[in-house]
Amino acid sequence: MSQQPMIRVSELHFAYLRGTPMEVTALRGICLEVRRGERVGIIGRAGSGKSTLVQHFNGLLRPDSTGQVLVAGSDLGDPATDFRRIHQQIGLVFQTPEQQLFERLVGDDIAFGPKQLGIERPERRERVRWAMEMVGLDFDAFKDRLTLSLSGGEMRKVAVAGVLALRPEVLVLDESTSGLDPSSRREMLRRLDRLHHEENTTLVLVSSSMEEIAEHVDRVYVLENGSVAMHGSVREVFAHPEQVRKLGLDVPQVTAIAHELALVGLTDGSVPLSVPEGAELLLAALGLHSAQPGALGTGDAR
Amino acid sequence: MESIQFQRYITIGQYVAGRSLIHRLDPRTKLSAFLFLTLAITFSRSYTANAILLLVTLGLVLAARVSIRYLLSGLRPALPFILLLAIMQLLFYGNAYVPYRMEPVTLWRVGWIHVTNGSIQAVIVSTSRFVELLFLTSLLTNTTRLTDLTHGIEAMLRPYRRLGLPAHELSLVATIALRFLPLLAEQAENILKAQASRGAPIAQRGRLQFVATARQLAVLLVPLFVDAFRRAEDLILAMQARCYAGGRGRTCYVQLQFDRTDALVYGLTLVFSAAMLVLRNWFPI
Repeated sequence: MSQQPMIRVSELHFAYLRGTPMEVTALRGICLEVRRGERVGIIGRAGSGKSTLVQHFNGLLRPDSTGQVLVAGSDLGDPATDFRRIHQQIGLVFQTPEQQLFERLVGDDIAFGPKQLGIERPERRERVRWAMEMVGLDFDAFKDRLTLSLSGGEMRKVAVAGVLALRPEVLVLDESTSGLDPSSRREMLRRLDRLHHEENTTLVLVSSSMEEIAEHVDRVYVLENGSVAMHGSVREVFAHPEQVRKLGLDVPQVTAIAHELALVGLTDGSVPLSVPEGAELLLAALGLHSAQPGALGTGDAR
Repeated sequence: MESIQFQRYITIGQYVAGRSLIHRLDPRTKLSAFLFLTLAITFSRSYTANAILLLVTLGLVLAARVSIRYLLSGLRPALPFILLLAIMQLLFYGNAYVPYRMEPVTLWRVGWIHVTNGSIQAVIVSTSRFVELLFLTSLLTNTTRLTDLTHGIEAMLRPYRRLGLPAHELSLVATIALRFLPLLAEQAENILKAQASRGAPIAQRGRLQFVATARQLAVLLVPLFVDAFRRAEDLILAMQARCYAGGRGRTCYVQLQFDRTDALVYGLTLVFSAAMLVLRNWFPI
């Protein structure tokens, strides 16, 4: 595996409406790295700069003079960079699905990206079919549906499929699973995990669901007011519930319960991230079952 | 290439908080002054009149302490339009156009194209008129809160209610239209971003790609309109949910105050604009 990071952001500053009286500073010196094949989470309270940050990953927003964004080695501040290639490499799905669908029919909308890449018809069709299968939409039932007649959840799925059809190396989901019902949400995340395992797709997940972050991400960055407030492995970050809560977030419930139990000395301070992990920890604490040593590391966030 | 940011170039319809004299004027005064000056600008055909009006507009901008750089950025999206207009005027005005206080002289002649001193005058005058109007409109909305503007429009239309004019509704329509401008810009920005993210070519600056741009426009305008309608429907629902009921019997929380400064500004702009109108054929060039 190449050692060059997929995305490297250094000292990134950004202000909206710069040079106008309505200027708003969104990012203040962000440094971050996403390695190839990694799953990275970005969390933070509303308005902390998450969406602004991820829009820098594929060059939709350009860094102010000081910062730098490198994607697989190419500098996005350089006007000579081939941005269409960047857009293909880094697939970005936005928050609002209804603003991302612009063709009349679902099939055409998903095919928009491959068509822009100059992919021929039969191959395009295959890609659309594959992308729809990935998000759990039936190809024959949905390809000729009107995009405007879809429900909110279906629109979200189509939006994700439209980006998947580009076969990006990095998939960035900006709260793209919110608004889905729990089962389609779980289903989509499961499929994304599969994509990650089978094709080594790098995943960047922006989410307000801590459970989702805990279960589907390896490392996490916590943003606060345009800077990185905490970062580390998910376990390291969630080992500090007070600090996380101070940033307007929370840890998953199962992690919070384990933390409370550790405070009264019932468990050893392990940081479970999922319900099965939590159950195992509890059983071990009750002496009913022994946890595998080292299965749940204790965390230490920076 | 730059970040995709449209809102940055929309200066009309955006309130910029401030405490200048112009900010504090009664909205009715500002609206009337705006109307008077607009008339004066519309009827000015001479270099002198336009120079005076440009100076007055700039003076108002300075008085309102709105950044000129910011207003100029609002000119940027209009540049292609201004340029196109200028080219048309140069090509087609020719001898048919009677210039202001000048003997028509053909400066250039290629086939059926006559470039005269008159068409050059037309280009300069209409460009400066455009700039003046843009500055003035931006200034009005930059210094007046939308709600104040609504109250102002409504108060000014009230006398015509007896003639069956729906004053309140009309002012509401105007307000909503202005309010939607920055929203539409934001929306266009979002759609363009989504399209660019999926590999659509982003319009290259400095190149004229009319066909490509037109095709891009189609995929931009349709979702833009759909979204505007959706927003409008949401707005209706939200207004109904808060028991909104038209103009009749509605009282105002804000009572407008027309004081001596207002009277002075009103009088000055009225006299100035009237003078510009009366004297419009008397300027030397």
